[in-house]
Parts: sequence; C-alpha cells; structure tokens
Amino acid sequence: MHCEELHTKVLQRTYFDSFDWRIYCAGGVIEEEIGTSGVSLRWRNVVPIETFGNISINKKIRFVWDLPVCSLRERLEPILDVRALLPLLCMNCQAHGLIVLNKDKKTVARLSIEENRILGSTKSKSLKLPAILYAESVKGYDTVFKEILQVIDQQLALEVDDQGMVQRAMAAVELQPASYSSNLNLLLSPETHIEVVMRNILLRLLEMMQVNERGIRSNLDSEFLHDFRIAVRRSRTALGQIKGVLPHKIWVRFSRKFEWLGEITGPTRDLDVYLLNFVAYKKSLPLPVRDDLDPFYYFLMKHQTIEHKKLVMHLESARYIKMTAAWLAYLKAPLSERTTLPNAHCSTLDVANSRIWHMVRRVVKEGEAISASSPPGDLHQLRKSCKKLRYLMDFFRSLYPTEEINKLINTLKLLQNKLGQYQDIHIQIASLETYRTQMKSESGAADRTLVAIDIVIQTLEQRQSHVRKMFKSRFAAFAEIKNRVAFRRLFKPKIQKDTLFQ
Amino acid sequence: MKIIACYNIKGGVGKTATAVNLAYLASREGARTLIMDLDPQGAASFYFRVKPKIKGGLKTLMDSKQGLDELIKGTDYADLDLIPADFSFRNMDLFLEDVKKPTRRLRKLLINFDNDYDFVFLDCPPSISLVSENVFQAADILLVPTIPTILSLRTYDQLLKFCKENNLDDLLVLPFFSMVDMRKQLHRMIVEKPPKTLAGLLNTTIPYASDVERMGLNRAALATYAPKCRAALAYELLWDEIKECMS
Ligand SMILES: Nc1ncnc2c1ncn2[C@@H]1O[C@H](COP(=O)(O)OP(=O)(O)OP(=O)(O)O)[C@@H](O)[C@H]1O
Ligand SMILES: [Mg+2]
Repeated sequence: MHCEELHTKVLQRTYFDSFDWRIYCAGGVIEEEIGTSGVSLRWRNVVPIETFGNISINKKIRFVWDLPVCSLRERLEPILDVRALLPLLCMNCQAHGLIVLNKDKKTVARLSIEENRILGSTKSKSLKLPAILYAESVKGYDTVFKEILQVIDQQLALEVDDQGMVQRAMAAVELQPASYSSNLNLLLSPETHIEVVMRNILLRLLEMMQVNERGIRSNLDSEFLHDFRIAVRRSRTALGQIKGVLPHKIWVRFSRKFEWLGEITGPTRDLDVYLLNFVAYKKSLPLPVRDDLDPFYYFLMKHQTIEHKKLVMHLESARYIKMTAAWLAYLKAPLSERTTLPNAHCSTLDVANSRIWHMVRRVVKEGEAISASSPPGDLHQLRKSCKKLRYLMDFFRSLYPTEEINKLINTLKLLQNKLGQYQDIHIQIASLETYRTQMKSESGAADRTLVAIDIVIQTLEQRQSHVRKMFKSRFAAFAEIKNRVAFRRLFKPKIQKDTLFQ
Repeated sequence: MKIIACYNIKGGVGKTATAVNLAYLASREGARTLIMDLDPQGAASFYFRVKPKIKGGLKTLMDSKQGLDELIKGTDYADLDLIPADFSFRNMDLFLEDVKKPTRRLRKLLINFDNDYDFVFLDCPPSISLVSENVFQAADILLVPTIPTILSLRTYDQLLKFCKENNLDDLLVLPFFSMVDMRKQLHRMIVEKPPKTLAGLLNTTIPYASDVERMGLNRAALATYAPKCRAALAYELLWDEIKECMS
C-alpha cells in the first residue's frame, strides 16, 4: 500500500443559502466552486461531510429555475421555492488530492488535504482555517480503509472534525446560521400581563419588518416583501383583536399607519405574484400560442419595476422612518405599575383563550352560512377570519400543548389553502382583466396577446368553479365534530370572560 | 436505470473492450455506472485491477436475499463501480438449471439497483446458453460487436432467430462493426455495403487498433491513456449513438 499525489488545485468556493436559511435548515448549504475546469455547483451537507448533485454551470444561479433540469434542482425546488440564493461566505481553497494504491496499483482510498482561507472579511487578521484531511473509502475496500484510518489516527494524531468546515467558517466570521425565520417562535408564560406580551409580539413583528427592508429595497427576491406584509398583517390582527390594552390614541394612530403600510406594499406584491405565476399561466395555454403571452410578461416586469420604485421611496420616506421610530420607542418604553386601561392586566392565557375561541366560533358561523349561491365576498370574509384565527394561534402557540395546537393549526391550514386558492383565483381573474385593459390602452397590445390572456382567464374561471365546488367538503372536514371538540377543549375559556375583549 | 449487455455468440470480437470503454465514458459524464463481469475469465475485472474473485463464488452472487451490494468494488474512477467475476462462473449454467424461473434470475438481481445506477453494463461470455438467456431477459439493450466476416454475419442471424423464437421483442438489439481493418478487402466490402440482415446496425465502426490491445498492459480504459486516438474517438461516437437510441 502506498500513497501518490494526484493533483493540487486552487479553488474559489462561495457558499449560498436563502435569507431565511432554508438550505441550512435542511442540513446543507450550496457550494459554488470556481477552478481551472470551470464553475460548478453542488449541495454540501453540513455534517456528515458529503456532497450531492454536482453540476457544471456557465451563468450565475440566483433562483432554482435558473438551474437546468438535474438532481440538484429536483432537491432544491421544494426547499428553496421562490427564494434567491444569497452569498454567505467566499473562500480560497488549496486542495491536494491523493490516492492510496494497493500492490496492483489499484486505487483503494482517496485522500485530500484542504487549506481554506476566508476572503473579503473586514477583519484585518487573516482568516485562515485549520487544514482538513478528508479520507474517502472506495466501495468494497473497507478493510484497507480501516487500516488507513488507523494510520491517520495513530501516526498523524489528528483531531476528528465533527463540526464541518462550513460551520467552522461561519463561526469564524460570526455568521449565525438560522438566525432569521419567518416563524414567530414566541415563548410566553400564561400568567404574564397581556400588556407585556402584546408589546413583545408587536416588537418581534416590527423587528421582522425591519430585517426584511434591505431585501425589499434591493429586490433580491419576492419573499422579503411577502414576509414584511405578513408582519404588517399580523400587527394589524394583534391591534384589532386584543383591545383595551394600548391607550386609545396610540391604538388609533398606529392602526392607521399599519393600514397605510398594507396599501403601499400591495401593488408590488400583486405584480410579484403574477410574475411568479407567469410560467404556470403560459403552461395553461395550448403550445402554439404560448409565446403570444410573452408581451404580458414584459408588461408585468415594467410595472413591477415602477411599483417597486414607488415602494422603496415610501420605505425611505420621512413618514415611514418616523413611524417605525415612534412605534419602537413606544413599544420599548417602560410600563407603569398602574393602568387605567381595562384589559392591560389580564393574564395572557385568559386573553388567548377568549380571543381564539371567539374567532373559532366566528369562522364556524361564517363557514356554515356559505351556500352554493353565496357571493365571493362571503368567502373572502371567511378567509380573513381564518387568517385572524391563524395569527392568534401563532401568537399564543407556546401556551398550549404542542401536539394538540399543531394539529389544529394544520386542520385550519387545510381550510385556508382551499380558501386561499379560491380567493387568489378570484383576484387573479379581476386583476388580469384590469391588466388586459391597461395593456391595450398603454401600448396597443397585439390581439394575439389579448387572446392569450383571455384563454388564461378562462382556464382560471374553470379552476375557480372547481375549487368552489370543493369548498363544502373542505369546510365540513374542518368543522367536523372531532375538531370542534378539540378546539373547544383547548380554547374555550373556563370562566366566561370573552365579553371583555369584544 | 438502463442495462446494456455486450454480447456475441462468438469469442474475441471486442465485447470486453466495448463494455469497459463505454462504461468509463458513461461514468466520465457523471452517470452512476456499474459494470458486471459475467465471464469466468475475468477480463473486465482485470482491466480495472480488481481481483476476479467473489467470496463464496456463484452461490453468493445468485443469493437473491443477500443482493449484489456486498460484491461491488469501486474502481479507480469516480461513479464507476464493478462486480468482479469469479472462476466459479464457469458453472453458472448448471446452477441456473436448478433455480426457479431460471431465465429471469439475473434480472431479479439487477432490479434492486434501479435507484443506485443510471447504467449497468454486462460483459458477457461468448456462446449461447442459459446465462445468455438471462442476459437477454435482463438487458434493455444488447450491443453486439461484430467483426465484418462471413461467419460473424451468420452467428448474428442465429442470434436474431433465437430472439424471435423466445419473444424477446422488448430487447433492443444493436450490432456494430468491431475490429475493422480497412486494409482487408472483405472487411471493406462488408462495412461499405452491410447486408440487410444486420437490422439496427449502428453507424459507428470501431477500427482495429493496437491502442486498444494496450488496454491489457495499462489495465485502464482507452480514453485514460490515449484519449485522442482513432479508436478512442470511435468509442465516444458509439456511446453518443447508443444514447441517441435510448432517448
Ligand atoms: N478494436 C480493436 N483493435 C485491436 N484489438 C482489439 C480491438 N478490440 C479488442 N481487441 C483485442 O482483441 C482481443 C479480444 O478482445 P475482447 O477481449 O474485447 O473480446 P471479447 O469478445 O470480450 O473476447 P472473449 O469472447 O474472449 O470475452 C483482446 O486482446 C483485445 O485487446
Ligand atoms: Mg470478454
């Protein structure tokens, strides 16, 4: 048995993940490698150290749809969804490849020694990571591999790296993985005064809005704005559902401000959604006319750019900056011992129970009232109530047994998905009609394109009536007795206090 | 997973050279590739520097409960694995006679790899036997290297007849000319005007070249030591053509 050096390579590696660490949460990171033979991309597991789906590329990959059809794309699609890959770290790597040969000169194991240096760090100190020796077995030569490991262990006395190079590198530049999540993850205790908890919820939501601002401004992907809007909506739900806890003047002022934020972010979000749907729209068309829809894409792009610019101006406006500063200051200001506000000193659990229970009953009532002839507005109203219920359950999740509340959240989710589908299609049809008119008047769009949009609308209408038909059974599944009992058991207030918070 | 068998009733026609070189080319493109050496002579194993030996021999190989996984050896090339031959394979016919569904045994063993490999190459021993019937049942493609001589053409007819009689309609039989020496008048004649009976004949021909013979000395695939030679380029063309047939 002896060892031969095969090559020394100088590589530049950049590691990517989405802003909300989706790939890291799935146990990996995307590694881009630039070497003499070109650029390649692969999935790297954090631990155990393994790579997957290596593919050579010749352009920058931002979104999963930039990748050609391959196993890497297949794995990434459900994880990354619409999020952009953003660079985390860039390193220089010197890799020495070695092979271990037996007496027939057959490769029985592969070794490589990698020396990594982190680039572009602001720290003046050189960020050289400890060198790593990788040993890779060859299938069917396990006994030899054990011997090799023994040699490494006993004669070289190296430490086993159970952390993995990527984590080590992230730690070296103080990058904290999974530091952002769009989940609230609040840990509440049932006896705390609701005024304290409410401030914490609202603070956490403000924080979420603020961490997403940069991504919105640079238009990195559509999800920054989406998360921002969810934080805004959740804040509105908190304000609307938990009353008598903030001073009336504050409550009125900020309820208006949040309404304003909903308005200024709407148009860009709508266009984002249509752009994301565009591929599906195109696919819904018969092959020969698919390309006719392309001008519509440029129309959407143009307007997205315009609306996005407006949105950025709003976010940089004095009005927005003053609002967030004032909101932060209010939420952080110390609370006085005494209060004249009627509900401020209620216990969190009481408020949670009564508000959730109230909303459950509303959802059931609204849902039961819907018949085949109900106008779309009724479904819209129900969807809004479901969202409020969902947000309330998210706020107060930690007060309830995990398994039970998760089960009910999932039940609600299923109903929400159906309603969401219906409502989305409804809105899409309306907006597509508006866009169609707008396109016609703006640029004198070709008839072919208008016809293509019409076909898309027709297909959507068919789907809408299909989804609408499904509503009854979906709602019945939600409102079945088993679920009602579960909702009641978990949330129905022991003492009837719910009139307090109406 | 596609199973490609290199087969001919005749010996010494370039079956092993084809299996080894094509398997290497497939793996070089990143396809997960396995080559299985079914010939007790163990030539393919030899080319990959793997001992032609299996612990327990034929019995271990055919034990459908255990599976073939334990027998796999990684080669010197990434993405290319091998199941070596064993001298006991000379008795494979006798062994198969005694099992249930004797012609479907190999297929049953290989089906387990469906998710592990993109291509499986079978390097087959010459002659027509129960082993070859197993190969026909297992393979998607039967690649038939054929030396352009009268006798070779005759054996090809025998093979087609056999396939017809045994209802092997799903098997794609692809003959191609191998070890072609254009200085020989007969080779020239047959290659330039191939007989109609060679149905499915591929366009690529593999020339007779001493570079190929050197595989035995180098114990490596042709493209690793003479990547630009005529025969190496011919194997690349052959592989492209086969992939086309599969798509
Ligand atoms: N294109 C070629 N040019 C020159 N020599 C070749 C060529 N192809 C194969 N050979 C040589 O011819 C001999 C037989 O080739 P190979 O072993 O590939 O045939 P085979 O059909 O597998 O034989 P067997 O029936 O014994 O298994 C080998 O020595 C090989 O090196
Ligand atoms: Mg052979």
